[in-house]
Amino acid sequence: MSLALREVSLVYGSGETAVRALDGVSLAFHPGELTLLVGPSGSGKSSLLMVAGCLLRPSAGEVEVLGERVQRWEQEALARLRRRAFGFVFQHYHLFPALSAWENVAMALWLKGLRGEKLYREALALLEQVGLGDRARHRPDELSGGQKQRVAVARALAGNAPILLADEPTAALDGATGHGIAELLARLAHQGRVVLVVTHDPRMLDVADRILRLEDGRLKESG
Amino acid sequence: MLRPAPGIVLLAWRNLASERLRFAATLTGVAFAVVLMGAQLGLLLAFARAASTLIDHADADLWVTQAGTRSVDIAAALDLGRRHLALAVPGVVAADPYMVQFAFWRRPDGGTESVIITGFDPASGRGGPWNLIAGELGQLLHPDSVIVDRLFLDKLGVDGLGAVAEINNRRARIVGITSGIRTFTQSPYVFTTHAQAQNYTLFSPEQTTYLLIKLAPEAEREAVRQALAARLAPARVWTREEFARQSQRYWLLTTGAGSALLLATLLGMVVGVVIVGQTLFAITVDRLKEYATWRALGASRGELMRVILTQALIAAGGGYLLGALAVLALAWIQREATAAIAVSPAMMGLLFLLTLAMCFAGALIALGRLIRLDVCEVFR
Ligand SMILES: Nc1ncnc2c1ncn2[C@@H]1O[C@H](COP(=O)(O)OP(=O)(O)OP(=O)(O)O)[C@@H](O)[C@H]1O
Ligand SMILES: [Mg+2]
Repeated sequence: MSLALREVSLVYGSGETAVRALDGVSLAFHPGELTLLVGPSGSGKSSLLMVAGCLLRPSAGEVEVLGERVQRWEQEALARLRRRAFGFVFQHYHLFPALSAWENVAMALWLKGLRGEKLYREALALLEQVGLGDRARHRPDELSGGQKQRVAVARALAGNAPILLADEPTAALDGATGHGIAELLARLAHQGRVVLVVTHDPRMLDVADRILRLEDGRLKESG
Repeated sequence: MLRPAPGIVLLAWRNLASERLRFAATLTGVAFAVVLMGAQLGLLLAFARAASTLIDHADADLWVTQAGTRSVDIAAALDLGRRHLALAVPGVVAADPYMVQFAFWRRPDGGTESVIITGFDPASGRGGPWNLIAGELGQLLHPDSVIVDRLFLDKLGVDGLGAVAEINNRRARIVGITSGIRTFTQSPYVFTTHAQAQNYTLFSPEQTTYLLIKLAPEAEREAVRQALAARLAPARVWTREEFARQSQRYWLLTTGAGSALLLATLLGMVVGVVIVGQTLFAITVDRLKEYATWRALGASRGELMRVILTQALIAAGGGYLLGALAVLALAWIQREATAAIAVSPAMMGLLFLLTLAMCFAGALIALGRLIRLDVCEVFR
């Protein structure tokens, strides 16, 4: 099992202002499947992604990643785990504007330990995989939204991360572009990765293998 | 354009270089701070050098002074008879008399300046002038002859060789001119023979102010120093280094010049810290979401901090390069001034260390912000 949550709860703050964002969520993810996470605003989707991605420690419950229970690990150990296990894609890309597409991907590869010629070739290969081989030297401000998101996906794939987590990856993109990203994510899932996508986007529904619904921090599986 | 391989340096460099105006302003700011600090340190070095220049240029291993002497420029009378006592100490090959004494210089136009008469033994030449650019040392053997420095001709109201003035109401004729012999007190050194100096200053023939000791090559300096001190008490015996440090300390501390210059150096540093600090903070805050994404992808806190520190290093290196060139240029332009800034490898090294410290201090606020970085910011 590459990624599983057991009875996970997450409480923000404490006392009067405490917010229970996740409430006893249990879930397992299967490699090769694109899983969608849907639900109303404020239902806890991003929170679930952060806990599953080891960015936040749960208030209760277990998080298992690549066979290890990590819910109590300290921050730097979690960072090292994320380095080998996870790729992230966000609604607003968050590419370093001063770096070219190639360099943005290369920095993630560098983080994962690649150096020299190997790093160079791998970065180009990743950009080709997302259909941007001819834009490697362009900077983010010279790319369209869809192209930027493709660079972000290429960066998330760096180091061959087995788990890909995406929060609203198509929300800022228009019709055809959003659909292109949806298909790309499905293709990457079917190559054998765990792919979990938080979305409101109906275009994503077509390509999903499994759809999870979150309401008030509780899971209602469907589809 | 620089093309570093992917890694911390690439990210740091691109973050800085992509904002050309801000980067240029930062480098200018750092360079400005370097010039401020460099000018103060350069003055400090020049003052220190001037305060001990007579000692540094006199070929003496040990200095015998009257008890209580605290600076080479302010000397008390010493009985010349002690010279023979000193020569009797094993290891001493020379004990030459040397006079340093304030006097009044009457300019040909009637004005008065204070000068420091410096009388050396023409037989050995020990303690004599250096960097002679006109005239001859041998001319000092003629009566009433003196040698002065080119830097002070104006102040002394004379225009060169052959000019005549008065020292303490006795005739003084310029027979030689040196170049670059500065004084801390701004009272010019006026070189003459020891006998002539006694005349000018109304010292008796049996008096001097210093004995300059030269040791045999095989003599053990500390042992001879102690033997001399025992034999010549209460006169004091210094190594040349001790006496040089003492003279520097005396002038830099008693006049407050040292602390004033150090304070100004510190102010220059503060300027730099503020400039570097605000730039690094601004470009870091602009990129928080990207840093958070990088953290999400597994960057350690140390790696994030190294990006900022590398940026500080780049600012320090670039700013130092510009600033140091300006300091060297300033020193060169001022080389003819009586109070020029001086440069030395050690001083430029210290300046670089101060620049580094300044830039790293400036990086602290940006570092503080990154340490508090919440990865979850990328989801908002
Ligand atoms: N840092 C925080 N501190 C306190 N409460 C928070 C924090 N982050 C989220 N919450 C609360 O937790 C709940 C779940 O938030 P979350 O962001 O996971 O929802 P979401 O499903 O992603 O919503 P959206 O679709 O609007 O992005 C919300 O009630 C939210 O207000
Ligand atoms: Mg959300």
